[in-house]
Amino acid sequence: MSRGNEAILTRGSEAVMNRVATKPVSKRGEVAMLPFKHLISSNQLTPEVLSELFAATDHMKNVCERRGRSPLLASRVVALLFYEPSSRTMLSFQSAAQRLYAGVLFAQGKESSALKKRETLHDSMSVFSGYCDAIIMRHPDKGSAEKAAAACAVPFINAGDGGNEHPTQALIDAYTIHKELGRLDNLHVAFGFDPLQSRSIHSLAFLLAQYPGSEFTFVSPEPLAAGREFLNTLKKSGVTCHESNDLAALKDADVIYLNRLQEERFENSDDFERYRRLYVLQPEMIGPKQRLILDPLPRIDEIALAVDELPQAAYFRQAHNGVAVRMALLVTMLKGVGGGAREED
Amino acid sequence: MNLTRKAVIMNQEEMRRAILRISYEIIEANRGIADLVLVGIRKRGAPLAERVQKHLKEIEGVQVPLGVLDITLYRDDISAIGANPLVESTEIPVSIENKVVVLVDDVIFTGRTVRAALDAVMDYGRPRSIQLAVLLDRGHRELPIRADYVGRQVPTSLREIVKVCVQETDGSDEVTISEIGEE
Repeated sequence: MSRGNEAILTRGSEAVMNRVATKPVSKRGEVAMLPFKHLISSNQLTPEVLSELFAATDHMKNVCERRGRSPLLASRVVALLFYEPSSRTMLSFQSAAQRLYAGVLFAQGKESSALKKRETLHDSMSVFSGYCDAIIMRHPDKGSAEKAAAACAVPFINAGDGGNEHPTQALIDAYTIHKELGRLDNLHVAFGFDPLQSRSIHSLAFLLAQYPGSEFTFVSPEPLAAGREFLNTLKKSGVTCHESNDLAALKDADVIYLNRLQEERFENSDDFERYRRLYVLQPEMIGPKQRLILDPLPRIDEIALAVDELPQAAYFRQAHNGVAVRMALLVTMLKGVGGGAREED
Repeated sequence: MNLTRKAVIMNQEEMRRAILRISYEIIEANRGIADLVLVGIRKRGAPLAERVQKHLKEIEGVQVPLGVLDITLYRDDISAIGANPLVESTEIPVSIENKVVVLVDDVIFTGRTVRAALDAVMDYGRPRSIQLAVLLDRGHRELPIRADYVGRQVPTSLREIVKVCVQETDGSDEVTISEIGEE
């Protein structure tokens, strides 16, 4: 793989994200709880939005632990369109929807879809908008989320668009960091080992870049180094960025965020095999300075099994936060509130 | 919105007495305070519930568990005009299974806030019973909901706004009534 393949990161345009000063109002006259209709990029997850989503997530965790389910979305139907393989994102969205009593529609794999018959994404989304109250889509192409959302009459959630972004994963990651460390500002985060192609790394970096005092170190083999455009965007946001091909660079970080090498995005499988054995986090690389180790999973080789025993290893707790985080997102994006209200009631 | 302030309908001392009386009524109706859990509805129900908790402690010598409930996710009645729904935290520190939950709010009006609060509480568990304490009942119910403990009944017109201020968030304790002026 060459630098020519560098990820071109597309970030949702203002128009498509419906970023507005006041909260959007639906055709039923309901006020949305969040200041956007579609979630395309993690840069929409501002500190204000996160504060609401974290409160809603805490509530959903309690609901899951105490009652298991809540009828909050009993009158809603969501569509899960997964045009690229997924198990945990798809299952956790399904679990989230079902724990909220929402109906769930499924379409999996490009092979079985109308996209195979050359229907455009635009037409597919226009049609599916009439079947449901929200569309959650994963697609192998960078930038597909923004295109799809532009045709969606109902709220749209990007569940991963190629190597571009994965904002709901960033939401889970940010919630986990906040729960474990109590803050999102002034953190030194080391990202590895495929910052070129990992959408989870891109989305979390964009999210944390909104907070003061962020410092990032990207650790990877040289050909998988972070894209220049990506780094420039972060630097413009005021983030101090470092790059290294040496695992020793992990030692200064508060948080180590690792993601598997993105095998499906390698053109040459020999490169993949070579790098996956070189970049492995071992327990002896972790000291008291490093307070948290995260990985969106699945794990391939990037974290040795022995690391699991360390108290800083939070990746399974991180995974378990996924359902409550997605419940909170679904409720706040789908359940507008409307009708005639009186201020003091 | 053009508001004309008409009157102070409760001052600090009147509010204190009403909350104290409600606290006695809660003890009397439940023959004590065993199994009680107080839950204040955000925003102004929360400090009022805290005051009830303090009175119960003074009278019975026992600290009743206290929670705070945010009902934003459960509402169905925030109008498009001027509303900015903001989700805040819900904290109910104990299990409410088989407990007697006393919801506390400042004003009961249409009943829709209480309906939302009932749904929210049910998502946390199955209490033996749920009771409702409010500082003011201003009428105009849209749902078959009533309060068990009421500080004061205040007949109002739909053009009037009842505003409860509490020391904790507004700097002083008082209840005022205002009228919405002509546009």
